[in-house]
Amino acid sequence: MKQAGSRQGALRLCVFAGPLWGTLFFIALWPLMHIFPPYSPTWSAAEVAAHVRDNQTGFLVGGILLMTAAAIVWPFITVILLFLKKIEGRLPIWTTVTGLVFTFGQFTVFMCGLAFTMAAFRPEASNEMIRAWSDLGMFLLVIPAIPGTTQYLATGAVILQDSRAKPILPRWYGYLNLWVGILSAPGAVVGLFKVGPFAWNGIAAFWIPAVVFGVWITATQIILLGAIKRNALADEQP
Amino acid sequence: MIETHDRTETPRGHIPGEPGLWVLIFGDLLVFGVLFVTYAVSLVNDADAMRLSQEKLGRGLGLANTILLLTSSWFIAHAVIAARRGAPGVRRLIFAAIALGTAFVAVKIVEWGGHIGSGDTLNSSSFFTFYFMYTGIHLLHVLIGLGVLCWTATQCDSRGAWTGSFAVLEGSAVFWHLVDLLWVMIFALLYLLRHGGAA
Repeated sequence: MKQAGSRQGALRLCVFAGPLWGTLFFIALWPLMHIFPPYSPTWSAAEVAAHVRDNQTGFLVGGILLMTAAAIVWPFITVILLFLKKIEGRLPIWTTVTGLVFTFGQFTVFMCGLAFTMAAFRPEASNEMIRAWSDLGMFLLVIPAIPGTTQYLATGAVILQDSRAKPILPRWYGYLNLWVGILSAPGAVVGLFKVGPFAWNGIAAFWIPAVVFGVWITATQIILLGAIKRNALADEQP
Repeated sequence: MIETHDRTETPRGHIPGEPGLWVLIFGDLLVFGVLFVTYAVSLVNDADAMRLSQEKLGRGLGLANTILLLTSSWFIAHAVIAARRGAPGVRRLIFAAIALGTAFVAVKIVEWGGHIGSGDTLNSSSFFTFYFMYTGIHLLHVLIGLGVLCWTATQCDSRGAWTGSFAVLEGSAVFWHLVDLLWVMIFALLYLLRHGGAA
């Protein structure tokens, strides 16, 4: 019993890597780089370069925080995967898909931090060069919603196929994942537009996915902590 | 009568599908609400340019799609009724709904093809951005819905009677009605509603 208790403690600790990831991400984008909300895609090279030069240290430290976030999130992801694997049992197909896409997604977070670092590293570089790297950072921030859709749909599929009388993870959370998956998809199109709701600072491509993601990460912590409290990993229902 | 394993069924009141499903339904409605308001604001602020592009839209094809999807929804509603009675022929009704849904996709492709052919693409004007993106996001819902309906069709016995859980069939029908409802809103807003400019 004592052993089970300490394992629950370790799992709980792992869950807090999620909010820590979110906090680092937000600090990087908001007070450090001042790109939350994002600058307009219509800005000239001189305007973007001026913004990066004015916040050079913010961009460099923010880049480090983004890359750090991509490095510390793994315990949180692992707890999610442990519960999904518990649900799927001996042939964890969609758990594996979720895990692979998670890994890919964190690679893009790391690359995003690297792109913003490149943008700010040499402030004497030409405006166009600085804007190109900064644009790459913005794309890496928003476009990875495409693989994200696969990940959320896979997670939802695992949770909804749980036929136990008392499901390991709540079914509404499965449906929430489907919702997040469908609504992340519009982030994919930001390369097409510089103005309007589907540009990278628009309501449909940025704000809706951002809010929906905020809902997801909050709900995920709540249901993981709840499942750990119920000791659902040791559940022995058929 | 088929035995029900429905966890969500309570003696008083009945939530169609299961409670969790409504997170997806209301969440989707909420976000589409935001998208519709965004469009409406654009329609008012940019009335002349929007109307110019909007007039290129064929209301006939839009109406055809509305009828296809409403009829498809009618079939799936009757599939649920037949399944509750334990009647055979549920699968036939589901297939009819799938066929009409597929016809909707075909009409959409013809419609898109026409606009792209005459040079109106995603980026041509702000109206066509709204048009292609909103109908595209809706089409994604249609395709997911068709996938779900195909999956429900596999859960019938050789007489075509329903053998799965009622919550699954009801939930699938609710999602299909959502797809329908969203389309009716899109049809009304993008095809029918025209802002006359300042009164």
